[in-house]
Order: sequence, then structure tokens, then C-alpha cells
Amino acid sequence: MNKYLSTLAALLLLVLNMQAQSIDDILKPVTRTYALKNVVVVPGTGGMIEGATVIIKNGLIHAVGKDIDIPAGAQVLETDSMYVYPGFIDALSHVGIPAPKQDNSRSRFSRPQGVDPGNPPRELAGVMPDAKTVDKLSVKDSEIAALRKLGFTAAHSVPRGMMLPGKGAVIVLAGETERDMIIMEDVSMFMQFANARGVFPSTLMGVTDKFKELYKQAMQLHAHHKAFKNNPAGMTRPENDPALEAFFPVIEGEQHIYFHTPGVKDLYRAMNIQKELGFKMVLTNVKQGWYLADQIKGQSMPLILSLDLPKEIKEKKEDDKEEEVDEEVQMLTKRKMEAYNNHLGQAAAMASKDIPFSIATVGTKAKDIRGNLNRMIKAGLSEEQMLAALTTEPAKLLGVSDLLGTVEKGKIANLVITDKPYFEEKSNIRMVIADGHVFKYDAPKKKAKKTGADGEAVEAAAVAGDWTFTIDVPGQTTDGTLTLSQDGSEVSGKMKTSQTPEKDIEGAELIGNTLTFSITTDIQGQAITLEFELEIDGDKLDGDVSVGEFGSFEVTGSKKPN
Amino acid sequence: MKHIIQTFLLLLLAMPLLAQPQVGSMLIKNGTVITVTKGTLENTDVLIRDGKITRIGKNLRTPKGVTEIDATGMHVMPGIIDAHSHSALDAVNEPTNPVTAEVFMGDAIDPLSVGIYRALAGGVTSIHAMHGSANAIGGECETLKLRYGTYNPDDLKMKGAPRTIKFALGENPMRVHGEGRGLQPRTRMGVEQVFRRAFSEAKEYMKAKADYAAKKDSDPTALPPQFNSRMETLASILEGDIIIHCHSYRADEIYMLLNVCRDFGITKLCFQHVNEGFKVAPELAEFGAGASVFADWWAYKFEVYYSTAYNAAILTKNGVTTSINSDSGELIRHLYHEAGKTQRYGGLTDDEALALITINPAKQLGIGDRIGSIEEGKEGDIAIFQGHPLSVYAIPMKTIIDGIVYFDRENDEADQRLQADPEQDIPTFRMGERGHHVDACMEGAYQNVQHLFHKH
Repeated sequence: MNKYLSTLAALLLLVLNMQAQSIDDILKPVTRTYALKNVVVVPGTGGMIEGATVIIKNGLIHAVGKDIDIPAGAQVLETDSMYVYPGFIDALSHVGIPAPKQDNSRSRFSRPQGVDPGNPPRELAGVMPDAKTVDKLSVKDSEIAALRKLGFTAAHSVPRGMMLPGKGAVIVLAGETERDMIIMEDVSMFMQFANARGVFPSTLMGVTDKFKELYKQAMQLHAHHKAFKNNPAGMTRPENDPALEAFFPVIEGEQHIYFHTPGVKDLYRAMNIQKELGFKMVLTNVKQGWYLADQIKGQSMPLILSLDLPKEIKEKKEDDKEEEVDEEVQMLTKRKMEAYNNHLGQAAAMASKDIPFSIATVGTKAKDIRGNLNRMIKAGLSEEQMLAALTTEPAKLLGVSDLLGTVEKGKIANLVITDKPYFEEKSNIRMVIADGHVFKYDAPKKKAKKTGADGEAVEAAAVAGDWTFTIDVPGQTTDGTLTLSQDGSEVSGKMKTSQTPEKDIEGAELIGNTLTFSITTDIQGQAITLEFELEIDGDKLDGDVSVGEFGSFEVTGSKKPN
Repeated sequence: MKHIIQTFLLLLLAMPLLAQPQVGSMLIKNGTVITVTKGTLENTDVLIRDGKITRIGKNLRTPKGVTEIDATGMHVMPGIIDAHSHSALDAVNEPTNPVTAEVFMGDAIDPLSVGIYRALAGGVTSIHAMHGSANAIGGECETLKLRYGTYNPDDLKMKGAPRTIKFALGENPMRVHGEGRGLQPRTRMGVEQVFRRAFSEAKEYMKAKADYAAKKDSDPTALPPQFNSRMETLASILEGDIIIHCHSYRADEIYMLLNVCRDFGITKLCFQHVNEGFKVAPELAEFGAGASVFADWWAYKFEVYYSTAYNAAILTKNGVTTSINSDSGELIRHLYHEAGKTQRYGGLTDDEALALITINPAKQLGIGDRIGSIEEGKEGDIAIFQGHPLSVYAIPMKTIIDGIVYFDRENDEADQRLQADPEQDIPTFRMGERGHHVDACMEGAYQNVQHLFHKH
């Protein structure tokens, strides 16, 4: 009987395995044992191991170190002299949860029919603390592959929504089914100062009050549950209220509230609410934490910093003439730059005070992620600190240190493999291993000498030809023509607008489909530089031109048919 | 004894941990001190120590370490108080329900609002940051001291000031809820009914809480009523812990609310706007209700046509505690002009006129014992003017809160924002002029670039 059962089980496994193989279109696994030979391992525990071998078996790291025998049947991956890092953990995002369709229901939200706006159903109010990431995941969400390609192999994913979107889960960014992705359910409760549309709570003070009221009601219900459990005789049965019951783990101190607090006011407000109610809190997606560094440190408040940095301001070239800018503009620009540098330097400022933090990608476009990590480092954060914020710190925060965060025996096989050290600007991610699944990425093509902002190898777009474009200045437009010739990623050409004579374009750079160049034109004895940044998409172009302190203006155009 | 000393030491240690707003010390020397409540004193010094006014007199000795401010030729008056403002707030109306007593403006304070600095530049030291008038019963309001420079919303709160709440009569709640949503109140009668129902529900809630409190010790199966934030606030009004500040125009409605309050035993009441207050001034005085009015602003909707610039004077002469408010980020910068209008329209004395923007609004907010006049023992909130504050030539020179200078005309930076946007450029005047090549005075400043974008 037993034998029959085990045969059946084996057969079943075989069938499942075959199915799995047929689904995996990235790299069909012949074996689940892999070897990485002669690699530089940055294990995340300090230091690095050169000339190391890493063995992966059944989704786990089986061995790490020098002089390790490669087991028979292991597939040796092409990683010679590459760098191996622990897979990154995104401390908070909505990865895996598809964004709702751009809504036809918008009008329904702003004027809900048949709903008492003062007492709406809780879906409309945004009170969904009992919703779960687990129920909302889709393996098809394109963000999974987008983040994985950048080195993220796990994430703390929280539901999308308004004030109380629900409970987050730690997921791995690979898997054939949604269930495969779950590492740990219900690790957090997510909260944000996000008001409902057209119904209560429709304002900041409404949201704050609603949150406090729910919390106090949950405490009452919690006490009722406890009393009823002790001695139910003669006592009214506690109400079944999933929204309030969702607070119980928070009240019991088992679960943190991850409070979305990007700005300085959000931080103060959340900390004041926390002080009043006393729950455990993680300050999340923080963008202006430097104002409260001492308070955060003093209270040992766990911290997740946002990777969503201000749009990059390119450093000025030396030949820009400062004296042409008027005093008021100079002063305003100075303040803007101070704010800009504070945002970029937030992580470094926290690190310099020994405040531990993790990093969240929520709100950051995938194409900006690698660039932004490097901008934080450029602003003073060390690479070790950055690596910790992407690996060991979030693992500790989320209670998964035994499973994730380092390249060590027994951990889940989540690895990032690069041809140069990850934070070097010209490094390429060549392979990502997530939960033992191998994802390979091509080396940059020889022709394209440059790489995009995300480090991804990109081929220079075809831009040669005659283009017409329009510069959109509020209240008026300027038309122009652009004639480009191209040799690989080398571009040259001429530009003319209805306001300026034909001039050669200068400093043209083509990275992927992003073309940047400038023209300097002489008007009434004064040199004015126009800096263009254009995205080329087939025979369309779209981008902007910045004109010194006068701001930047949208440019759209198209290629003339040959 | 040892125990007491230990406790004292512990207290001392704990002190810096309690986040207390900063206080300062200074000696304001040789000014014309308009106390508002105790006459005007020439060539007089005001000493502020640790945020409180400790001495008023001539030729006071400057204590060690105390900064001197020379007010020779200047007028020194109590900091101006605006009893009706929506400045320094990130939201104003929660217009989703005719009754939103549960919401609290203290949760939406915006310490970064540059409007705070503009108010300081008009001698204003305190404002009543109010909920809007969309709902019959709006949210709780918050009394602020304009301690500009902090990033912590709580630092602006005037700790210990009584709780206040916004009510509204007439067309605003009728329009939002009645016309807009087909809910009560659709008429002025409906507004009264909303109040009466809300207070009746609150009484039931209070009774349920009292019943539970009475039997919880003897009956382990007793359960409290579910916590209800709206009912909690309404109950506090009935218990006399909250001052009602009611948006109002018409005399009949004002009289209606007096009756509702009488029926529910509510005595702390102040009307806002009160354009027809002059018609019911004796009734307001008899009730003890305050009136916070505009100097001369009306006719912006049907119910605000029957108005007069004599309103403040008539109310004052009838013994109503009256103030003049701004309800505006612009008027707040020159409330002293607004007060001055009552001398043209009603012939109020200097002290009567200045009381409208100092001690009277303080009384209406329940803080008349702390600010609103220059008296020993009161808080060091002071406005220093060049020229008499009721003169059209008055210039606010310094604004002081708790003995700290928050506005100084001689030290007035061009950019007073607390926070700059790291992405957005601010268009300056000259940039705004681009394209308007008619302004010959700006020639050469922008025309080069303008040529680039202008079609000929």
C-alpha cells in the first residue's frame, strides 16, 4: 500500500515537474543543481571571496567558498570571473500586483451613486486593512520581470489602495504560480494619508480621524474577544468585523504598521499618531527624513527610504556664464539645489548617524532604479551601506533573515551576477537567480558602446534622416527641422527653427533611443544654449528642450518619409 | 524629603525630553505701550522673561543675558489675534457629511505654509485655524501660535487653549448637502434639525457610556458602547468642554442657534461673520455669545446682502464681545486697518477698536487670560509698529511670540519659504514677462530668449 502511494506521488511529481518545465520559458531546467565557478562573491556579511564557487541545489544555496567540489549533474553556469551578490529585497512596493485598469470608473468614484457619502461602504472609503497581497498577486505582472532584471529577487509587496490598503507579504520575484512566490504572508499592515474620493474620509483630517477611530474600536473589540474567550457565559458574542480584526496582530505587537510618510509633515503626523496609540511602526517610503534624523534615531524607529529621487539635474558645463543669470533666479536656483542635494543625500545623512534603513522602489520607474542607487552613492553613501539597505536590512526588518539577504549556505538561492561590481556605472547584470530559477541577460552588443541608465545593454536607435519638430511654449509654438546622420551611436547633424538660423548640433549622444545634444545660437550678441533631450521611437520623437533659467519646454516631432 | 528631591531631579532630567516650543527673553525699551486693557503708557519698557511678560514700567534694568529691543518712537501692542482663519492648513472642508464633529483641524496643520509668515508680517501672532462651513457641524478647530520656522505641525498648537468647533448655518450646508446630494439640510429648518438630532444622539451615547461605567465593576459581562469619535466630540460640547464657533449671517438663524443651545444647556458660543448681528445684538449680549465679524465685506451671496460697516460698533456698544477677523490670507496681513474702519463707521475709541483684534478674539477663543493684552503675567506675544497701528501709515516692524522675534522688517529675507521644491523652478517676474514685449522697462532682460519662441 505504502509503496503504491509513493509510486503515485513520484508520478505526480514527475507530471508536475514536466508542466513546470513547459511553462518556464526563460531557461528550461534540466537540473535544479547549478554551479557558479571562479566568481567573486560579495556575501553581504562583510568582505568578499575571490575565486569562489557557489553551488545551488533545489532552490537553496548549497555551498559557498573556495575549493568546493562541483557535484555530478550540476550545470555549470557561464559566470567566470563575474561578481555574485545576494539578490536585492525591495522593502516596499506593489510588485506582483497589477495596477488597476485606467479607470472608466473614475466618475463613479467621484460621485458614487446610491451611496451615503458620509457613511460609504468601506471599499470606497479605502478601509481595507484585511485585504491581502496574497489574494492580489499575478505572476503575469510585468513589474516582476522589470525589477528582477535590475537585481531584485524578493520584495515586500503591499496591496494598492487608499488609506488602509491591506496586509503585505514577502514574495520572491519568480515562480510559476502566485503561491510559488509567497515567502511569508501578512508581514505588515500598510497605512497612508490617502483620502477617498467624494466620500468620507475625503480629507487629511478625515483620514486621520478614521484611522484613530478604527484603532480604538479594534482595541475595544480585541478586549471583548479576550473577555469572551475567558468566560462567555452571559456575554454578548463579539461582532464579526474583519476590518477591525485585521488590527489585532498590530494591537498585540506582532505586526508593524508600515506608514507611508514621504514628506516631513507626513513623518511628524505619523509619529504623533503613533505616540498617541502606541503601535509598532515602520516609517516607509521616506523622502525627507533628514529633518527628523535625531528623533528617528532616538526612538529606534525602523526606516525605509524611498528610491524615488527628484528628476536629475545635469551639472552645468564650465563654460556656462554665471553672470548672465539675474540675482533672484540665482537665489531661487540655490535653494532648489539645496533641496535637491538634501534629497539625494538623505541616505548618506542617515548612514552617517548610524541609522539603519532599507530601500523601497515604490513610485520609482524601473528605468531610474539603477541610476538612483548610484546617485545615492555619489551623494555619500558607501557601497557596503547601500548593499545592506538592499539585502540584510530589509531581511531583518521583515523577519526573513534566515531565508534571505546574504550569499550563505542554507539561504534561498537569490543572487545577482554582474560582469563588473554592481555599483560601477558600466557594470551589466548578466544573470539573476531567484528562488533557484536562472534568468540570463545578454551582454551588451558590440555596436552599441553605451548603456542605458538602468545598465541594460541597448542598441542605438536609427535616427538618421530629416525630422520636423515643434517646441511647445505656453501660448505659442516654434517649428523646426533637424537633419541627422549616424554611424552607430555617433550622431551629427544640423538644426534650424523658425526663430534661429541653421546651426550644427553639438555634443550629440545617442544612448539606446535617447538622443541628447545642444545648439548654441547667437542672438543680438548674446549666446543662448538650448539643450535637447529627445526619445526616438521609430519615426516619432518626443522630449524636451531646456533654455537656461527660462525652464524647459516640450518637443514633439516626426521623421519625414524618405 | 529624599523622595521629593529625587522626584524633582527626575523631573529636571525629563524636561528636555518633553518637546516644548521655544520661549525667549527680551526687554522692549522705551516704546509707546498700548496695553489695550490698561491704557497706553508712553516711554515704557516691557520685560519678557522665558516667554512671559514679567514687568511693565519705565527705565527697567536690563537683566543679564536679556536682549534689548529699542522701541523708541514705536508703538508696542499685543500681538494681533485672528479668530477666523484657514491659513496654515492642508485641508479645510470634509464636506461628505452634514455632521463631521469627529474631524480635527489639528491633524491638518501645515507648518510650511508661507502664509504664516505673511500673517506675522501684519503683526498677527495667533490664529484660529478653522474647519470650513460646508457642514452644519464641521470639525474641531485649533488655536495656533504662528511659530514659523518649525517643521513639526504640533509646534504651532497653542497648548492648553480650549477646544473649539465649527458650526455653520444657512446656505452653505444647504447647498452642499441639500441641493448637492438631496440630504438634510435642504432648508434653514433642516439645519436646526441636524443640530437637534446630533445633540440628541450624543446624549444617548453619553447615557450608554454612563450606564456601562456604573455597572462594569459589578457585571463582568457588561460591554461599553462602540467608540464613536463623532459622538465623543458632540458629548464634549454638551459637557461644556468645547466652544462653538458658528458661521452665520441672518438674524433669525442666529436666534435659532441661541435657542438650540439653551435647550441643550450649551453656554460657550461665538458667532462668525454675523452680518445681521446688529439686529440681535441685545440677545447676543444677554446670552453671552461672542461675535466675530468682517469690517466691511458682504454681498457675496444672497444671505449676505443685509449688512453694514457699523456692525462691529453696534455689537460693541451693546456689550457683545466682538472681534474682527480675516477669513482670508490677504486681509490677515492688515487686520489693524480693518479694526481702524470701526472708527470711521461707529466712532469706536482706540482701545475699543484695537480690542477687536486682540483681547476680544482672545476671549472668544477662551485664551483671554493668556494673550490679547500687554499685562504682567501674560504671554510675550507682541507686535511693534512704526506709527500708530490704527493709522493708515502704520508699518509692522517686529512680531514677537513667547519672547521670540518671528518677523523683523529689518531682517526680512526675500525668500521666506521653509522648503524649496527640488524639481520645480519658480517663475520670477521677469520670466513671467517673457513674450510680453510691450514692457519697455524690461528691455534687454528677456528679449533675447523671447525672440526664440515668438513668431513674427
